[in-house]
Amino acid sequence: MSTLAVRSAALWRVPLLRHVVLGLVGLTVMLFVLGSLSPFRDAQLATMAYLAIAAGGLTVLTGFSGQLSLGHGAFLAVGAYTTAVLLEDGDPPFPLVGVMVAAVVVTVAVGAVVGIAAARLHGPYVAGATLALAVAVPSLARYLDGLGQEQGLHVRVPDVPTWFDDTVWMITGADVDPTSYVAYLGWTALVVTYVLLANLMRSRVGRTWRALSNDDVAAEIAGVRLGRARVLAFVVSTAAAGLAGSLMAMAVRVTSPSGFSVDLSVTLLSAIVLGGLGTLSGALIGSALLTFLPQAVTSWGTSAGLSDVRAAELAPVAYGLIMIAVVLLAPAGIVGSLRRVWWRRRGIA
Amino acid sequence: MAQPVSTKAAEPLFAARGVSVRFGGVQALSQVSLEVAPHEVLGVIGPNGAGKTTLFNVLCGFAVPDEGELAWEGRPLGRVRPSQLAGLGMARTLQGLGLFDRMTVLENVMVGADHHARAGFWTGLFGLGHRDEARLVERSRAVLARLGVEDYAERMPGGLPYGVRKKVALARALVSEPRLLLLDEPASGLSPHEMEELGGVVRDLTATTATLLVEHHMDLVMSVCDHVTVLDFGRVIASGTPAQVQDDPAVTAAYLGTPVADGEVS
Amino acid sequence: MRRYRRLGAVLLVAALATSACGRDPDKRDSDKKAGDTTGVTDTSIKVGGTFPLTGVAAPGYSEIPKGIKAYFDYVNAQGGVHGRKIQWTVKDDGYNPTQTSAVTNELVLKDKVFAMLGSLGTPTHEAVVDFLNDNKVPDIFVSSGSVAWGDDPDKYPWTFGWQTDYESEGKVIGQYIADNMPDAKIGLFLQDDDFGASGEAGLRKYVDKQIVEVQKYTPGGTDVTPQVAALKASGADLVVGFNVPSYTALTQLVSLKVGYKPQWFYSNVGSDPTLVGALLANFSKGAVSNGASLLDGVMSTAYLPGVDQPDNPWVTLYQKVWDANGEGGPLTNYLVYGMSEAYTFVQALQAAGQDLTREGLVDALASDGGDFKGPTYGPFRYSDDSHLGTSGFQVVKLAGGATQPLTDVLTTDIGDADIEKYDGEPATPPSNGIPK
Repeated sequence: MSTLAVRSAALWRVPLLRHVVLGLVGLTVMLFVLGSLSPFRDAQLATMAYLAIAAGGLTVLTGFSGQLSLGHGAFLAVGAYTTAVLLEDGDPPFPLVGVMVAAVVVTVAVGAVVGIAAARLHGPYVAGATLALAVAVPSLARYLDGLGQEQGLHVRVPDVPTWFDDTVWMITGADVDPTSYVAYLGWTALVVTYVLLANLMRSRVGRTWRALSNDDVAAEIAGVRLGRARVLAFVVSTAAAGLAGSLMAMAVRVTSPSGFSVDLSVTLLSAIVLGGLGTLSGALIGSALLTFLPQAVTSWGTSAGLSDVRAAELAPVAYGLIMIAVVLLAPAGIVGSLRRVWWRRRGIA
Repeated sequence: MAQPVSTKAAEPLFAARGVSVRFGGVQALSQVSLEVAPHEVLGVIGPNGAGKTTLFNVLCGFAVPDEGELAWEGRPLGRVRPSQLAGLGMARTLQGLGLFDRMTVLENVMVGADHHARAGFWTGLFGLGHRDEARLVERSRAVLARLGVEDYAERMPGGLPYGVRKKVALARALVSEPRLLLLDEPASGLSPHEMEELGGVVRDLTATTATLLVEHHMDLVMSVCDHVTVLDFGRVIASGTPAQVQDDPAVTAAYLGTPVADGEVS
Repeated sequence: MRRYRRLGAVLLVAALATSACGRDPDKRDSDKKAGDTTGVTDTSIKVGGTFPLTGVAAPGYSEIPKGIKAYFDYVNAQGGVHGRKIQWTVKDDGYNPTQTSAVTNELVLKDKVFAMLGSLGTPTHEAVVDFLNDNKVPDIFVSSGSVAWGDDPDKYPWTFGWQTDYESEGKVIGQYIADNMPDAKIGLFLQDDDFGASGEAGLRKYVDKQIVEVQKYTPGGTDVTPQVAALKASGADLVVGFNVPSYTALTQLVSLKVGYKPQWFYSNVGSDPTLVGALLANFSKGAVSNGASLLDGVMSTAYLPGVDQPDNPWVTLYQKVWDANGEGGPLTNYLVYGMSEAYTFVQALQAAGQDLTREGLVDALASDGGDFKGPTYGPFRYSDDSHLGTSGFQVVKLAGGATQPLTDVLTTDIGDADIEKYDGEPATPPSNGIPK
């Protein structure tokens, strides 16, 4: 092999470089894809981006560190409402990225408190506590002043900065309208988040998480500080959820309590199970399914001659059937099952 | 009540003094004392129900005694949380092995080496810890090699033979370079050959690591241990070298039952 | 290591596949044509709406778009409007604003509808009203009584309400009580949002001093025992409810249980006897089977004829339309609502003329809408200063599943406008059922 090939192979083994390279590839691909699609598809991709960020954090929490959170919608709500409040009067006091960071910070603060409480609980009790959270937090928005009550708060996305519009146009020849802007923001955030999460998963911290979810007694004996590790996982996942919530506020353009029902939390969970617990690619696939499947199925239904109502009802049915199929035939999720096949082929397991 | 300091030449590495544990109405342990000197192997034996498991749990911090105290290197040891064991220089194994099934053998051992790791959260987040990782990998592979199972490093524990899995669990305990190793029935499920191997490993380890093992298999205990402590009904009924203990009538009685006058065994 | 390579490959394939979907040719255009004719061809007009077709809000409300469809099919069968047939697309939002946003995106950006019609719900439509106005999409006849859709045409120039608004309804109810039951002790049962708050505001303009207790509920919770108990404890002998049908059923059931028998006055939103009767049977698990008659004596308001008046010429027309184009099953008040909205929409399309543009439609409504004659009891308030819908009410009493009028048709407006008797003649539908 040539020196360059040897060098590249060696570099590829360094996790950070690997992740960064993949991330850059992803960013570039995304730039071109978003530029060439219609605003409608861009809007869908924006949705997929924030769902994937939330799913990524959740899959690390549940799949990696074994803590079942039934209430991640609550953290999305915190991030979303923070963003909505900051963007309420049009232009935010600081740049949009700052708004997103603020949303993450506020959500992490809440997440840390919940995580510390949850670290003392086990299994079903964590699930129960987080479920209570999922119900309580959106209701808070109904009772506190300034959060818009049932109607919620409008969110106006700030104007696309000219430098961004020009840069994108130079690279891809496409204009950036507000809908697409959120898509660009979302996918950039997604790539960055996934690179960081992938780093964590490959690191010592990630190993600790996997150990404690596998067998927490053995992990403790091996020296792992369970409480600390669990809280850390919780905080990381809520940071992702806060970022996702911030993007969601901009994509949906309104934050109202009914948008963060228990439904959202359970749906996110179902997405990561479908895709494959504990894998980022699984989180991505699950989010893609959540975003594109309902609309695709409904369109297919209408073109197959069904009435609008029937076609609309088809979407949850299709999703449910897929879930059942996955649980029965490929319980490790799509990615998990593919991996198992791969390992078996290579004789690892 | 504290007992007088041991008459051994060196300060014991690890000592338990007057440990008593009561569960409800049952006295599980009563005034149990023992010592492990550096570089020695201590065996704890006794019939079923003698309190060996309870004692073991107290020794590694899983259970709090009602009376008595533990001392590490002469200094009293308060309540020890399991995750603090490695920091103190102790390591234990589990009866059920407790291997992480969803991680490779190498990763299993690396978790045990966690204590030596330098990389923290932020290093991990930005992917900067690969040199630290490399060091951990090296250390872990070395331990696996020492036990003769380095070829299994990339495999998942799931499909491996029991003997290999036991070695991996031991490797995980050893990689933190403990001064004291606590083994919970290490010979169970092993073939005679593997048991011999294990004995060899434990003896080799005494250069750096003292061992306390709770065990049923007499052969292993007698051939490997420097000292043996015998428990029965929660009390120490004999303590000494293997030879001394073997000849002690109290020990025989405990295992076989006290002969009754007309020849029946109770 | 290999799994990341795989991830990268997946990403690349996905990217290639999606970019193969092609560029959008309209993407770079900021066309300043004479008028926006998106969704209009020489032979068709694309119209869309968002409704709860699934989920808790679906009963009743999911029939409105079916009514709209039946009427449009009827009109199309007779040649359409100015030679154009109306293509009606309905999308489900499950009464969830997040979903409303997504499907509105789809209708506007993907299906490229000419206008939105009848989109249902206050919180749900709040999610998209800015988007529609920013994108200059006619947002016609939002199915909700919030005043937000029409009290500030400068803010939302493209949005129009259609039905009566909750504040006006509150005023009419308030005045009726003040005139006929001045000694009544009034309790309020309100949905905890704009709907309830507007109703309350209207009521207080007339009977503020008579109100002894205010109770609220959030949609979703199914236990109204605390609220009913509080109302009973306060001694209220008349309860005015601004709530959705499920909560009419719930309050009735709980009151039965605790033996509370005030005079009930429900907003027209929650007073359809057939639907409430069905809900009563459902919630009580069959224990209450005479649900519709349980509502006898309950008062409400009406602004449209109902199916309990089969001889009304509009109802006759709708029955004919439903028989010809519907999905089967009886005519319901929700279908009547839908067909009436569709009727007014056709009037607007005709007023906009042969050269149909988005701006043209909106201008025609604002200038001519106030004169439209249709099934509603009172006139529309469309003008340059208001995009609010119909303003005429009759106070009614329910008896045997039918409504008995208690007053003449009264008209009013939001704010301090007086309530006046409406002098106009009730309109009759044209012989072919299509507005002239």
